[in-house]
Amino acid sequence: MKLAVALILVLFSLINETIASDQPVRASVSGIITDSRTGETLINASVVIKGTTTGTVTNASGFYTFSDLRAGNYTFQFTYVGYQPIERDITLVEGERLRLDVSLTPADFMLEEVVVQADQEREEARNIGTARISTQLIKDIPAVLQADVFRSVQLLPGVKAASDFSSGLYIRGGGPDQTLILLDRTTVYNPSHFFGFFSTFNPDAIKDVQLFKGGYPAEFGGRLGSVLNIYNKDGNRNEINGVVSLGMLSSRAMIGGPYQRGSYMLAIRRSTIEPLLAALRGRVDTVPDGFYFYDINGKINADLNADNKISLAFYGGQDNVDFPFGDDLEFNLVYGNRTLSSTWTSIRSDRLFTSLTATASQYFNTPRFSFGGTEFTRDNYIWDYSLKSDAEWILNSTHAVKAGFWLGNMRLELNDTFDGRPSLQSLLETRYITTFIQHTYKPARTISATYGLRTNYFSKGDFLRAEPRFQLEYTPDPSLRLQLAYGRYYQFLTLITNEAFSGFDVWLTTDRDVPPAWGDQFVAGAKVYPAQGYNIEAEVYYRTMQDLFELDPRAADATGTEYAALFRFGRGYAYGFELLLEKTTGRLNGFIGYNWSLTRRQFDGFNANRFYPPKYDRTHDVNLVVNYRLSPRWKSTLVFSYATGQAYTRVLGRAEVENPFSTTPEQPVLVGKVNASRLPAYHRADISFTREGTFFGLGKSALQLQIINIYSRRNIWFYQFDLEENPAVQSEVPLLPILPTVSYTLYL
Amino acid sequence: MKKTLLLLIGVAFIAGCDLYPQDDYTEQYVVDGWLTAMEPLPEIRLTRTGEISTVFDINERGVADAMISVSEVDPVTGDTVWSQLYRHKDSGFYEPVNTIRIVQPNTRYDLDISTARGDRITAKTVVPDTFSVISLNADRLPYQGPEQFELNLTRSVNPSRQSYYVFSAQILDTLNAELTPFYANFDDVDRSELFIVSSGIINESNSRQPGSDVVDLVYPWIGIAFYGSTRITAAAIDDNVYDFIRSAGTQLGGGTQSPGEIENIISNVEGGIGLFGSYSKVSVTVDIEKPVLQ
Repeated sequence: MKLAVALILVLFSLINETIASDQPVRASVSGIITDSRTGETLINASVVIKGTTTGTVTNASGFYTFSDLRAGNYTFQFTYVGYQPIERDITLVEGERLRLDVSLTPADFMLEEVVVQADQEREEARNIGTARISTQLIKDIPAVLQADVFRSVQLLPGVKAASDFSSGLYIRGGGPDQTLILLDRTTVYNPSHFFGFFSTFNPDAIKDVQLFKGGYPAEFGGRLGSVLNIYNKDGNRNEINGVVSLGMLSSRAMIGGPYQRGSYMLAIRRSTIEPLLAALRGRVDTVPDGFYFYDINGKINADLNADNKISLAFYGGQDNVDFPFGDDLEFNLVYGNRTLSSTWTSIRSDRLFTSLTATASQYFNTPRFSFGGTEFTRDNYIWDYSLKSDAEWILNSTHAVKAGFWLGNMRLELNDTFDGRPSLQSLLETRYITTFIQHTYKPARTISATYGLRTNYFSKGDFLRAEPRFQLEYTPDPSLRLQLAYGRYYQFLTLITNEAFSGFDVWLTTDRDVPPAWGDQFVAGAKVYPAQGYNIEAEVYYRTMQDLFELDPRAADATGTEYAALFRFGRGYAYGFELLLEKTTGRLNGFIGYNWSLTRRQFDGFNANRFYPPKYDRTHDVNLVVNYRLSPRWKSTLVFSYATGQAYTRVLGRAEVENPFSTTPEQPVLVGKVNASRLPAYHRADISFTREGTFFGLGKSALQLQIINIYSRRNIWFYQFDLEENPAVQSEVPLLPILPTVSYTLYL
Repeated sequence: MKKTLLLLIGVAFIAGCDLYPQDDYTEQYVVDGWLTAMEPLPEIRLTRTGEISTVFDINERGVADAMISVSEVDPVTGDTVWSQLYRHKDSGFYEPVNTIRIVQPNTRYDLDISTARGDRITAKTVVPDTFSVISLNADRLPYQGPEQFELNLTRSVNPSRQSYYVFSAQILDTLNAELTPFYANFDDVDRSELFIVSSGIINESNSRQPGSDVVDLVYPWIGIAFYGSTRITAAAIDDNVYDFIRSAGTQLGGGTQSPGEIENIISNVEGGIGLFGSYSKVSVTVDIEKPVLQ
């Protein structure tokens, strides 16, 4: 608490000092940057005053502002990756407050000359620990069965995949529950389809994907590791447009357009695999009787006036699978998410921007098993309602303050029945209140410091925690940025999941005797721009994880068990080095990311209390993504991944013990240290070819052919042992073989 | 510059070293002893583990030359009330010498083993409280009929925790009994593996209303593998059996652990692995009728 008071005092003394010395009446320039074709606001677009090192980036509403400008002539340069940069010459008089809205033209679908012209653009500013991935890249990257946001994010250095079958994000040593997933400022609790095979986010509906891998600022919180911040498209403000895409697993349709007060967007994706399943049924075992998934994204924007906008965004998606495994055995699972958010953004002045958002998020899974005349049911729900508000106050070129709150009520309900009778009944209800304040201080053009404090109150267990955050950036040269970050992070939730199957995910909270997990993160990085269109980013990180709590994997029946006894408590740490070499423009572009890392966990009473690497720990991880435009109509993307083999526990011996509750004896195996052995190295190459054309004059089209695992590397997921054989037989459970897919997309 | 280079080389060297090496296989003693309340002291088996890549024959892994005793111990003072010596029969099986002692509920028993190699293995168990059947709603019911077998039991009282139960159904006529449809459905079913079908661990809270002294068990049809005369048993288990069953279950995979992430079983045996545990039980015999096709 002393730290909080000290931080606030420092902040206000610095601001007061600046305001007091800010005597001349300066001019300001502010505005919104949009896509000229669709009118969509552009997040993180870069604005630079040419000939100076003064620059900024747009916020989540596409808004930028410069204050504290002297009267005079300026050239403003506006850039955004994938768009043609533009410049605006302006003359400011003393005290002028100029509104300068700008539209940028996309560089896609253009010939090489234009793309080369885009070489002039400056990469948008990137804060430490952050990465962005364009929706176009998500669509271009070869993906199993369909384009996927999470699969694309997994290619970034520092992000790992658990397996070919999991879209879960394992970032800088953290598990999937350590990443906060936000869709239009709303928490999404189980962002997966197909039991975790790919994520819920429809690339047609997504405008921006920003990943905070670590050391993230005070405006975010609630998770120990990272934040994935996703925004839906607003909808085309100029004309009605649409996309229709037919794929092997699913098909998508999106429509967006203007109306008199703003814009709208509606995107639908639904599985189309049912005909294939019908063909396989009867020939192949374990083909589901019924399976589908869908998701719907929508957004409506209304402009109250030039400075005030209201949006209503919603998402709904679910998976439904029916498995009749035979006579007297049926399984049905329905799971999904619903989110609803309404945001009011307001440009209060050229120095003050505010947003107010009301959110509602629901997650549910309701498995039903019926076997041998006995039914097991589960009704698992999360309802999370919240209100959040942020204010950005740009005092002058030296000081900017951002503050906000997020308060809500979360209800987690878990009701099991067995054989028609209630078995486990759990209701966790908690209120949470978080506040943050952060101050960006630029004492010189080359130095920027952002420090802040986030406070969290979580009523379940009655926990109040403070999280200091700090970022420092030194830019000795426009082509070099040196960055440092530190932050403390708390997490009040834990996820019960399995990396092989996310359909049964259950979240649990802290409570009395179950304190929140917390950790510190230290990050240092350098970003170098050696030439136009080239970026080099290097970061080192070290993070700790304390008071980790997760469901004890050996917990038996939970009914009547004291809540704290369900968990195992532990700690961990992770450190690593990440390198990203990126070429952003030209016919040949892409990136190569390398990550050297180490992650360790330790849980009381587990693995003889030794630290051990989790399965997803990989020492070396390399991902290469190459886009090449073969001709005006053809383009290709190659992805190659290499990673050290995952950790596994080697089975060393076996024993036999009678069991009076069974006809057959127990055959426990004897293992060494948990996860002390390594699977063979993982590597895989995928390629996609896209032919762009037109569809009978109706619109542009793209035919995409993809081959996953082009040389059919039999990567190993894990080993299993058959103890029925004597000696026991070890067999490999492989990951994906070679897999061709095709899709056709029509842009109307 | 040289210092920096040396530091970098040092870091690279440390990073390249495997600081968490895998263990080699080490043979261990395996204890196998299940005490049942109100029954004579059981045989104890002492064997050794086998390397996973070699042929494993439990009968060839028996330890024949150990000194084994089971003692009743006063839980308060730790004094030995009596001690029962065991002698080797065959294949690692040991039986009590001469006297027949009955295992008492709510009583602590200690196992002490000394091997010819000079190794010592110890374990202890506290036998769960006995309990009894209050009522059984029917002794004959059609399979998956409108009514299920319902047992009312007295509680097996444990002063420090709720009781843990394992329920099981054992077919009595193993030769002629016909499988129920659910189990008959599996292609590669081994009938002998289904002669006893058990529930896994069920907490008392699942079957007892708060404040009630009656454990109410409605036996699920999933637990019935055969038509015919069946012995239904309810067993209250001690901490060792509880740990053994729940930890052995997670070795099979599933749950929250990643595939291939395996932990040794919880044995509560010093100097070896396995089980020295206890339970108390009650049984009823019922008849499962094959439904008449309409």
